[in-house]
Amino acid sequence: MPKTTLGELEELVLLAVLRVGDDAYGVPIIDELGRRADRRVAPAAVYVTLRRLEDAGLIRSQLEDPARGKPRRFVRLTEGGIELLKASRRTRMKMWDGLEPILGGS
Amino acid sequence: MSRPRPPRLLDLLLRACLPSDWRDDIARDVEELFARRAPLGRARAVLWYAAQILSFGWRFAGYRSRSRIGAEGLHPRRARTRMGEIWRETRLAARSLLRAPGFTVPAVAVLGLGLGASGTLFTVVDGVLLEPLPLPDSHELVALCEEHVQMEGICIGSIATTRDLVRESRSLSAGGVARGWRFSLEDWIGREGLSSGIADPGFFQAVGLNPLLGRLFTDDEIGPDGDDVVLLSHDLWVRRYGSDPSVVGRTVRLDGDPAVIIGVLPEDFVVPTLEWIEAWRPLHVDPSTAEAREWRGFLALGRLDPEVGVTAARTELETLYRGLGLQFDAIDDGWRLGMRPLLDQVVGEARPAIVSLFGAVLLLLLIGCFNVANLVLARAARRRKELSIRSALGAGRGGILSVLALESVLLAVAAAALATALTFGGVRLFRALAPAGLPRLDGVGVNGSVLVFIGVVALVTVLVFGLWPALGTRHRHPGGGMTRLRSTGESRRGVAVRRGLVVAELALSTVLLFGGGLLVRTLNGYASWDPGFDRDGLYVVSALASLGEHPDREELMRFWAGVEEELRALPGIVGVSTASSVPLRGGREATTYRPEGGEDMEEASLPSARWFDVGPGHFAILGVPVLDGRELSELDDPSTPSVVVVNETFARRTWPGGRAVGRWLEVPLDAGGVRRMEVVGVVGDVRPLTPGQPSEPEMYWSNRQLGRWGTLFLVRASAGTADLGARVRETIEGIDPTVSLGTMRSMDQLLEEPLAGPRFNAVLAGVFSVLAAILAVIGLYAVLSYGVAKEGRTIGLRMAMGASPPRVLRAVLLEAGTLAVVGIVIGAAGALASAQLLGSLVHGVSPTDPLTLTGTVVLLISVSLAAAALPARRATRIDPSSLLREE
Repeated sequence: MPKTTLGELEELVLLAVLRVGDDAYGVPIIDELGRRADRRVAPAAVYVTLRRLEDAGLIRSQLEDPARGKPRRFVRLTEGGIELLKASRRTRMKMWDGLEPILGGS
Repeated sequence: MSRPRPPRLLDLLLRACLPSDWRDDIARDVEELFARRAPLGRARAVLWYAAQILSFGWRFAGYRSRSRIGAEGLHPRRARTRMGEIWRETRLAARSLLRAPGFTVPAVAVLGLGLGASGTLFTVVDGVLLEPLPLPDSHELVALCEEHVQMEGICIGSIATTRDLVRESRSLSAGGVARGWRFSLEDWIGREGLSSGIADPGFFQAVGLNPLLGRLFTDDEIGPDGDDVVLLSHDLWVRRYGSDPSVVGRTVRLDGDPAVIIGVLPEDFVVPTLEWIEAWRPLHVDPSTAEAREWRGFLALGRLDPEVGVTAARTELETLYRGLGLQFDAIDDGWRLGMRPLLDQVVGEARPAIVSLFGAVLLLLLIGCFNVANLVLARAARRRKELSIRSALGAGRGGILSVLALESVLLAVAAAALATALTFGGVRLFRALAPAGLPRLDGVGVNGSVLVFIGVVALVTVLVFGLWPALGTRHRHPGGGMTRLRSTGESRRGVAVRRGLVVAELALSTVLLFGGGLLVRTLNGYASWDPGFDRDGLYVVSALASLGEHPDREELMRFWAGVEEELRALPGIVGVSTASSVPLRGGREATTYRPEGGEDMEEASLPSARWFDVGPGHFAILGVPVLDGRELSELDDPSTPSVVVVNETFARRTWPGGRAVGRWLEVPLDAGGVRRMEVVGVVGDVRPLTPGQPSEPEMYWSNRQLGRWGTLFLVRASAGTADLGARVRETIEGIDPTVSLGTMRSMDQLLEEPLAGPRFNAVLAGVFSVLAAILAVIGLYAVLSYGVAKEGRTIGLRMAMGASPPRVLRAVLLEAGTLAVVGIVIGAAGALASAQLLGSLVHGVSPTDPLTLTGTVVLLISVSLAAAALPARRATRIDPSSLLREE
């Protein structure tokens, strides 16, 4: 498998899936992106990203009946997805390391 | 409550753009997002949803499962490339449209026209029927109508009854009455007859009004002993006093009596139906008298308590009114209370006309949409080769979809732009053409929701029909189209769909053309009105004597007789008479009467008739024949027994089979009691203006015996009418300068007003009918000429095998004729079924008039065959040898 890196939206979507947790399907993910990342992403962009992430084996989607309401396609991160996020963070931390005096702590 | 859902059609379109395994899931999620937006404005939510279709179509069309992670975002070069791609494809789509003007121009024109007409009428419906009245919390305002069984639809109110209802009701927080009441104003500037009115304090309170300057009326100022005060409208204050605030508190003379200006009304204050009033005086009638209950000549308004529901309020008021009926003779069994929203009361008669026009416009739009569909589908069938080649070269379904979608969006943008321009122009035209009486016309203007409507309909129409062909290629092998290139063309289903569209177009056109025909015939009925007398050279002017100058009724009647005498002496005038109303002007007054022989009749079951007070020689001047007895003369005066003349219908209904002359009848008087009058003559019926309406019973008594302060002068002139109005005015003002005079108008001018409405309906309906017919013919032509082009090879082969041109011609015409007949038969059935909807607009013609129907059918079949003739001729000219060479 070739070495994979994440695009920005892909990384944000993966993080949003993790944050939303068990209830992660399209709408809460879009909401989470809007709320926390302050990004108004077109729904179509989110679904295409989810699709791409699933094709790459980073998430797994499954049609489930929630306790209330209609069946939804819920998504969860796979081991591979979590590993990739960790790798991504490691890379970034390495790049950030030592730059605080210039860029500030926040 | 169920969740708001996007339009079904858009839902289907969205699904078509989605990958099959996630289709339902994504569609559900987008629906959830839509449901969140819908409460903030459905039109905007629908637009958002339509945009999502493009967004999903675009992104999933370009999506490949091989797409690598990390290939999105943060890559400006790639983003730029994609923008460049969009731009390139847009240019391609535009070029492709421009290369096919035979498709693009009619498609944009047809859709733009249909949408422009709908946009115009949508604006009118919005402005006249839907927009709230310009008064605070206007939805709480109701008209309190006293309605009599024999005067259907007439909403009137009386001072005392309204006051009782407002006082006793718990559903009304305020209420009062107002009406027009002419008086003359005299001040330091000069004298002027005013468009003025009277009202009580409760009326202004109900309307929810604060004065701009000064104060409103108080209860003490009501009645004959009240203070003489006056309120100015903003217009009058600006026009006459140059917005000078110091006029408040100054004294002017109204009808000769001093009155103090106590206030100025705000600029935006407009009383619906009384918007022309420039100055208000308090009611001069004591609300506690019997007269105040019988005088039902007012607009009665109430303001509903917002806590009380409309139905509860209606029930309470009806009960209270029945209670008043038990207490007062003035409210007999024939009367009941109708409470209706003020907006309904204002819009009233205009509603059916506007709703019918809107229906006609929607039909037109539908025809336009079918037409565009037809053009798009015919083009798609022609482009099957191109799409197949693209597909064979590796373009995915998504790629083809996005090309078609882009073309559709460009078409929609062009059509919407045309429609927007047409809507602005159309609304201006509508306002210029609309009859003067159409309520709330000033408030009609194009607004955002109309533009959203145009945009959404344009986009949906072209997207639905533009993407259809691509959706149809779903499971087709790319080579399919290639191998079919040499066959004769599209699928049977495609042909059937397009034929179906033509049939539908013709059916809808039949409905529109038939409706238009009925309205045009109605207008003809009005225009050819023959009242049974000579209209030429007949002029009418209204006059109102000042109560201050002529307090005595007998003196007043002598005064009017003197004015008549002076006018008769003018050169060029061959006859003069007076009357309380003439045909086309006034004549709404009606009363019950007790005829000779009806002594035992109950009060409630007495017949009623319209009444007029007229001068001597009235019928001779009009040219109405006296059928029996005599007409009113100078000898009928206060010293002789009261007499009355009746029309033929009155005589026939009241004393069937017997002679009316010599019998008596009694009418109730305003002041109480009755007046017995002897019938001295029977005159011919004056035919009502509304075609097909029967004559009403009418009675005419002498204004020398029962005269009033207001009258109409009827002048018959032989020649020199150029300055007639000025000479009549000079003469009357020379006798008494305090008489307020209206503008002199000829009977023909008066006829223009009632003709305006039917003419307007007929013109618009005519325009729509013609447009509908043209669109249907374009549709038929497109289908046939496409069919001929497509079948060219077959036709050529047949001709090579020996088929004669006439036979080919017959085959093409037969196809056209069949489509036309099927469409028209369906349309005729629909037209007859829906004719009742036009009921209130069609007069003098049966809503199922066979002549109009025949005309419609013949016209449509003729133009259909004419539309077919051109392609048919082309078919016979196909050269078989050139076709064989192509093979």
